[in-house]
Amino acid sequence: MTETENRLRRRHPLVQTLYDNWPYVLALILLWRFPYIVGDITNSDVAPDSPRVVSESKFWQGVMIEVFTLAVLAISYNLMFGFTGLISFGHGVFFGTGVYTVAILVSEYQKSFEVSIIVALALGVLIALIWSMASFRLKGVYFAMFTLAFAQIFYELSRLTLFKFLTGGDDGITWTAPDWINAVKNRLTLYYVAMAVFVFAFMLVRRLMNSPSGKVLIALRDNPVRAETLGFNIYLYRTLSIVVSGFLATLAGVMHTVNFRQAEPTALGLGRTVDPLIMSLIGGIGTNPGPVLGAALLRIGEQFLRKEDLQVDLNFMIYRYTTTVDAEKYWSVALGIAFILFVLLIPYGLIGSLNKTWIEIRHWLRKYFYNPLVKKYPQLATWAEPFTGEPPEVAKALAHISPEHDLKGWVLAYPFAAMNGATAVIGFLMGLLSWSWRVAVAWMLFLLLISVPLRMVALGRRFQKKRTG
Amino acid sequence: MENALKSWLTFKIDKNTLSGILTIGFVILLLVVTALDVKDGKRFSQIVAGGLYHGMLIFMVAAGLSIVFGLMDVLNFAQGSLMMIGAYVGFEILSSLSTDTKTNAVLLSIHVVAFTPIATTLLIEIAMIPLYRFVPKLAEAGRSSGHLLAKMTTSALIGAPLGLLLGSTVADDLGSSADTMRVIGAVVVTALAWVDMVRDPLLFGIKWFINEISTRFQTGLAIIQGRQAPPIETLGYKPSSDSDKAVLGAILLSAFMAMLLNTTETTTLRFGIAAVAAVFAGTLAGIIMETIFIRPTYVRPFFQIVLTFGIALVIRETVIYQYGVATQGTLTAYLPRGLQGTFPPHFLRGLFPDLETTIFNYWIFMIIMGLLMMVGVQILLMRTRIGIIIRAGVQDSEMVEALGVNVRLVFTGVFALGAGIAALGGIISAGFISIDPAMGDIFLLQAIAVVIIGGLGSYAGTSLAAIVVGLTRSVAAYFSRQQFNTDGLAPIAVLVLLCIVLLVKPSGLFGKEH
Repeated sequence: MTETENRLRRRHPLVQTLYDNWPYVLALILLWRFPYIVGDITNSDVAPDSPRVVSESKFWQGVMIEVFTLAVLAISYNLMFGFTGLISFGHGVFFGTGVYTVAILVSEYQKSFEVSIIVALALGVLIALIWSMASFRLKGVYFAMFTLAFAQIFYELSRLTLFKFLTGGDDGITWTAPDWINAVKNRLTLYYVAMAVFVFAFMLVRRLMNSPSGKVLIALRDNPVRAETLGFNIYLYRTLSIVVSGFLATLAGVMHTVNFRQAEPTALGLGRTVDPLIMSLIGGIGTNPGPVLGAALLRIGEQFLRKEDLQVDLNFMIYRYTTTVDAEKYWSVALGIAFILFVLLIPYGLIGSLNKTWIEIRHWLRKYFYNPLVKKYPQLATWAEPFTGEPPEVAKALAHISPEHDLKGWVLAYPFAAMNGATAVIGFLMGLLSWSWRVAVAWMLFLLLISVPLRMVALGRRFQKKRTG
Repeated sequence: MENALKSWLTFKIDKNTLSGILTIGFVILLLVVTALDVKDGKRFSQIVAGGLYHGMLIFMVAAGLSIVFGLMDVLNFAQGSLMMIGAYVGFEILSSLSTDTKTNAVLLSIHVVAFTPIATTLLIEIAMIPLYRFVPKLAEAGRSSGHLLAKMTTSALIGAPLGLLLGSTVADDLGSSADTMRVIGAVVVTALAWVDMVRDPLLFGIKWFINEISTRFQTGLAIIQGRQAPPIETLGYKPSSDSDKAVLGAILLSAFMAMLLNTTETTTLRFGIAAVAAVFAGTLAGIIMETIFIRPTYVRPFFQIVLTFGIALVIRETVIYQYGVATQGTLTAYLPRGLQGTFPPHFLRGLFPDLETTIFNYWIFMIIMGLLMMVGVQILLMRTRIGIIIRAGVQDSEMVEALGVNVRLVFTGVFALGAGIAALGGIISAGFISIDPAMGDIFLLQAIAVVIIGGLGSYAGTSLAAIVVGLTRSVAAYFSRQQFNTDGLAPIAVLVLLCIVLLVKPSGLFGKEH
């Protein structure tokens, strides 16, 4: 194959990009069709004629708009906390700036909607610049405390009766969004706009983190002194991170206020830091899809789990426990416990842990599947010895006499693996026969679980023999 | 002239001294501005006392934060929750102690036989420090030895069962036996104090006996043998006439103090028991928190803040689950109807009498408790072995570990100490400030402001900054009420102060440059 042929055979860059990012493309298509899918499943109107009617699809559009808002906020938080290593405890100040500026300008000063949004974003960037100036001298905890104090000042100011004419005090402001983007009259449009904003935020941060500047940000997080010694202007990069993060958080605030058409002091409160923090933590700090996943899990999970009478059906093997729980009361406690458990047990979050697991799996694959030593015995390649990567003597001997994919030879060579497989299959079949698919899966998982130590014992013994002999 | 100028130009002032001067100048400025505006001694004293008590409460939360951050680089966001735990546990204890005769009798006897000896021991020890220091003869005569903690434990261990015994025997008619109990208490306390004063009693007795016998024996031997008796000094015997005097004095002193302390009302006892329970609960919570949750994350400092944040969330939500979100008012209003009169203690009710001011007695109490804590922890840090270890740990904890100190244990102990102080702050504040699930967060924010302003890891800075922040808050509240008819500017003033200090001097007033 010549060079030209090869070039011709390659896909178009766009196609190649789509091909490389197939999970994202799939997710995007799903999100695009989401209102219609829900409408089809529940047999409800996607966009009812009367604004008062809230059909099933319209309701879920509302939930997804909130998910998009929270996802943008979490992405912005993750950019500072996860990628740059700047702990912010005042993200609410950006969010609240977005919320309050739009609400005040539209309702009190009768400015146009678009102008208010631009002003809000400009203000957010301005505050981000102030933060970055503060970060010239403040590091770590000190920076966190500065942001906390900064945000709390705005929070207290928004609650003051002194500025009630402007902010409405504790009651907040209620305003009306233009019809085309109004969540009551035209929620489908708002859904697609929110989705577009979310996709923009996601792609922006992803592009940034894949660029050389992004690598510098990660270097800032891991070892600022070294980054500085290598000649990077760390303040510039820090400013970049804070400004982009502040911009996105303000954007999230604007989305929030457009969705709910009101502004209240909680938008500036500490909760707006805690929410994205736990979302990033659940999804995976320092990963791109992590915060999005966290936001979606938390908000949608809340929809299903935060009920006054939650049906709990615990099913483990033959034991079954059914009860009703007042999950409304337990929700916040559960959130706090999730905080602690994730920090202590799953510090990399779901995506981060998956990444780590995948890296480990790849490591193993390299060692045992793609090992050049194994190439001699292709039919037994998958069953190479751990630690050395070499197929066992029995297997080598069998490889000469047995044809490819020989079950008998395999069973002879790997009695323990065969036993494990048999137990798993038997358990699965038993479960299917006796109860339901859940029980079957439980049995299978259980047997797999207990088979792991057995397997390890067998491998270890074999390894020891080889070492001593 | 030129020389003077030169020396002035080359004159360098210590940074900490400069910060101190600036801080004190700021306080004086605040007070002067307020005084010029108020022009009313009554109102002015109220503002200052209000600021001081608030500062002391903030200090109680901030003390633990400061030491813990200095030692282990953990900014504990759950410190406010520990304070809240103190308040709620104290409330639970107060509302579970009923007012019937039997409970009163048990309370009284526990107080008479367990609390009084501890307090007496402590007070005598403290009172003796300047005496030993400035009257060298007394120190030569015979200084009470033994570890203070050991003494207090001994007296409590002996006292508590005695108290329970007394309480259960005289529970039936309290009226006739209360005075008897007080007399018994005075006697017991005197005896215990005597035991404390004269070293280890057993050891003392044996030593005296052996000395006596050996001296007489040797003197007698000399007489029999017809030679001159050896001087007493060579026999290792020390005539203890001065020591006897000191012991006698101590016995009289302790008897007097026991009588004094035993006139306490039951309301005070209830509060004391609630406070002790609160401190125990807070300390326990601190130990659990440190050992189970924070210990695994020392290697991942990034996550510590998040973790303590989660813990604070769980504690707050649990309290909300148990008691509801709503503000319940102060402890006085929060108690069940049958126990309404039991808090605050009699001596803390009403206004401060002498100045004809509107200062509450309870404020004075809070200020005194805060000052005691301040000085106590300072002494602990500066004058004791544990304090040396802690300060060394702040400097370089790895080196301390290498020198054979169990640093983990020290970490846990320091965390528990901070938690205990915070819990004490909680129960004390509960007497005057509404108990609600958000109280921890409010105080935490201000405590963080205090710790940062004072300089992370600098205990003295924290103490000073607590007073400054309290006064700033109170003065800001006054001006904001006067100018804008709102209280909302007070917390903002504190936060603005924090921002300014951070931007001007990032490491805080007395913190180390990093």
